[in-house]
Amino acid sequence: MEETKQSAGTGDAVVDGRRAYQGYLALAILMIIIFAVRMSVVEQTPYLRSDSYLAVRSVEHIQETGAPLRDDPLSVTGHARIGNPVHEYGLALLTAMTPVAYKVLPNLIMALLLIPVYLITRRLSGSSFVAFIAALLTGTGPVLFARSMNSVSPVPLALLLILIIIALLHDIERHIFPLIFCAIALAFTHPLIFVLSLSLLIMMLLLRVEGYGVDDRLGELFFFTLLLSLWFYVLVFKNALFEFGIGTLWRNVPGAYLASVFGDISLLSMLYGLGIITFLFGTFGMYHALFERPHREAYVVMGPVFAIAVLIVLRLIPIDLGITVITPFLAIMAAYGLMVSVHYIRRTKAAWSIYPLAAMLAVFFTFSALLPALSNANGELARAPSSDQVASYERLRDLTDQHAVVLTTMEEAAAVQYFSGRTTLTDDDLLPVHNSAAVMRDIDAVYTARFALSVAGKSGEMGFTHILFSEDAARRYGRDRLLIDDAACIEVSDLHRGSLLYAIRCEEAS
Amino acid sequence: MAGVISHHELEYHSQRYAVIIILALSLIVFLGPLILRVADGSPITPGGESYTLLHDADILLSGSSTDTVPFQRSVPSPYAILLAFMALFGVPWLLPPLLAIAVVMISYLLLTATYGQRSMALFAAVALIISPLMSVLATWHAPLLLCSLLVLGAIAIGRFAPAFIAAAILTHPVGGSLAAMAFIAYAAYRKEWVRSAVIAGSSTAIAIVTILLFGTRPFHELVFASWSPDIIFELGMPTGVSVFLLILACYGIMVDFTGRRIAWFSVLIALMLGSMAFPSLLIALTVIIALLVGHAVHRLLVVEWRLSMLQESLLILIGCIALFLVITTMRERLADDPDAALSRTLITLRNTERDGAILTDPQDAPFVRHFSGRKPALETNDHSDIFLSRDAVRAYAFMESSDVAYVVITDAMRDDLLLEGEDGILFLLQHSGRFVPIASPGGASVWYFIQLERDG
Repeated sequence: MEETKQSAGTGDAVVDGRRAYQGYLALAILMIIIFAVRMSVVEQTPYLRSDSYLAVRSVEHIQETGAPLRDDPLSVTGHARIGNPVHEYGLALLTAMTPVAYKVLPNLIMALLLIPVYLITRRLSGSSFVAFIAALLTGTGPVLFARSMNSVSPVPLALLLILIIIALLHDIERHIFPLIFCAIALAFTHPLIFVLSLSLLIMMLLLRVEGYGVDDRLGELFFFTLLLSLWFYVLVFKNALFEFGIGTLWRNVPGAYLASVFGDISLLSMLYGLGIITFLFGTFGMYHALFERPHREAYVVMGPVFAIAVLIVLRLIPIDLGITVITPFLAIMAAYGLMVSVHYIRRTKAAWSIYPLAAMLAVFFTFSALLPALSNANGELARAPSSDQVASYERLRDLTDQHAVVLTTMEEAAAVQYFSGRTTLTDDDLLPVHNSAAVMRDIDAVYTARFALSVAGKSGEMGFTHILFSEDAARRYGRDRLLIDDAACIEVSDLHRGSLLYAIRCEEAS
Repeated sequence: MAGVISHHELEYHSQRYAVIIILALSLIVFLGPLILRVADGSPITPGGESYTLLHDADILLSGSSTDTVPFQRSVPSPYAILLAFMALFGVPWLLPPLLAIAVVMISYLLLTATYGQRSMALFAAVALIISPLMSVLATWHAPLLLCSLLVLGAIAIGRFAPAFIAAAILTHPVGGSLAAMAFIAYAAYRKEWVRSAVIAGSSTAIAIVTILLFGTRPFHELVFASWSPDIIFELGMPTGVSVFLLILACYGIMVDFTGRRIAWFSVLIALMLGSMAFPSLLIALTVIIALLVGHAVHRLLVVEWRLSMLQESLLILIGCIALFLVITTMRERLADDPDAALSRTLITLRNTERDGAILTDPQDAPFVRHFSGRKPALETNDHSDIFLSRDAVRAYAFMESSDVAYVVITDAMRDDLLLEGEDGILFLLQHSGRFVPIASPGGASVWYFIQLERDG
């Protein structure tokens, strides 16, 4: 009898071990597929997203001088750069080995996100299959899939660190050193550390409200990370904070332009950005864990969900960044919600419908997540300069002297600076800009001006000598050239395939 | 469980060194910025309000009953009288640091007497010294600090509380009245009705006398003129509270006030909201935060954390934060107006022949009055659009009606007040022929304005 029990136990362990192995194998295959698809998409263009070129210049500056780009000669209004250089130092090190790192690194990290997601879900649900579903929903989240695909951003690394910290929280004693290391690394990587602090606070509140004991060490970790990150970011952004106050949180973007930069929040945008399955089942999973069957592990995952939701609603975080960060956590809760639903259906007379429902869900998943993810990825590619645009920037360099100041749209300014080596009036980094509202208003005024005289007036006031009218400006302002009347003192040159360069010579003429 | 150090050991060290530490730190933090300003060539005392009070003190010292440079206030405040007394010894700049040290020392003694923990009181005093508001009050001339000292006196010597409160109201009507209300509420809470009535009666009488004596200028501050939610130092409010100290204060409530957390959080929130309406309350908020920070740091030292490695790192971090606050506030005081260029320029204009007012940034009006002995043409921002005007006729009419003799343009005005390029008044100065540039020893540009009637 004893022997039979023992052999049965050994048999279960073998089955569990095999299932775990199969789960890890499936996860590895999924990660390879996600990484391969992302790389195949970004390989369609040799260029990075336009706004990444500011970071690229800073990285190159570090490689040349050892110091980050702080006094930038290529921006009139933004010459005194403010920012956290830690990520750029890391990139400088890696890209010194191979420039391919710009493209490979974010996509590799995004694929690695699936490991902590898988581990957290397996602990929550006890099932490798459910954990695989969570990893799949995370990897194919429409916004998360496209996010940072073709740009230089510390967000993927910060998100990976947050997920690792959440995954390690179940046994603080055992993982204390990795936890502290990851918290410190996150503090120096990205302001998302504040999301983690808020998440820990909400987590502790949830645990206390539900009557679970709160581990003192969680509070200690929360307090330490909060004070450390606050100190670090106040030091880094001190000048901006003292000048723009709370506006620094909105990167000094003027109120009238906030919606275009931070995005508008709506149920539809959330559904589209997260994927309908992730959103609906994630909400259901959270409801179940909060009200039906309280689950301690689920509260650890729900902390970040509530924290990010609060930040999105208060517009303290751009909506696409918010959706990116919330996706893995909601995906975990969605997989949990799916598991709960399946268990429920199995107990009813409609148990037979599970497989047809699963097939329908798979089809629905394809249309609601996979296709939007690929579509977003294409959108991300469109934000990189085209070969024609790069050719026009290079021609711009040939046609202008090195003292020229070019007025461009904010979106492409960083790319213009990088490829043409010419100074632009401003770029999308508004933190150093003293009067950002006036600058943005004046740029719009120049691109929509009807009289050469007003353009010349603005040129004198703002100090630009040329205006670049490229594909980007055409898209933004819905026209193919400036509408100014013919003026002898404004000389127009065709740069490349429709991109125009207006040279202001009114002062010389007068 | 013992933390980094045992409670008894901490108390022993505090008993021996607390006063020395407080005095040494106060001298460094309060006198440091003044020494740096002198080294930089700037006038020793910073702040616009300082020069209004110095002007009042000058009038008192000159013995003249009429103000040579007319101003709304006709009776000097008690602070100005004290300032005039210090000016007799040639050290008016020493008054704010002395008052600040007195406030810190009395706070330390009061806390020691109340809580019986010298170490906690020491940390609270240190938090008070490094707080941004104290950095301003200890260098600028501000009646609020004297008012705070009197309120602390009222707390320390309860028998004379009505007298102290009355003097506080006379010194700073808003701050004194708010303190009186707090005293009345506390006396009523303790059911000390006679005491409550005495304070209420004397406060009301003094408030009425103050209004009659001082006119409307100090009193209009009582009116809830504008709600300003900017009370955080790190978000650009020089006299605000530091977010770091605020977080430490919240930690202090969480770890050291079990059972009274809601009451303490309520006090903190009420004072924060009150400070948004009445900036004078910021000093009360700062003192309460310092007290809570004292509790927090004391607990951090004597109670062992489960993650002891984080505890030690956190104490180092708190040291770094304190250093950051001291350096940042010192730099702020160094950058405060007036700078060397403006003061030198204005002193030069004191001795020029032509009578008449000076047209410059309205914020510099107190400096104009103090350094040049002339009347500023603009005291408020009401007519500051004159700097942007392209209408020469309107600009000349305003200058002639204000009897402007000189126009002073500083670098700060070029950044904030004037149009970029050579437009607005800058164009008139250079191209109209009605202004003559004058060589100035400072960095500011000075033009003499030719008045047609006066100068032909």
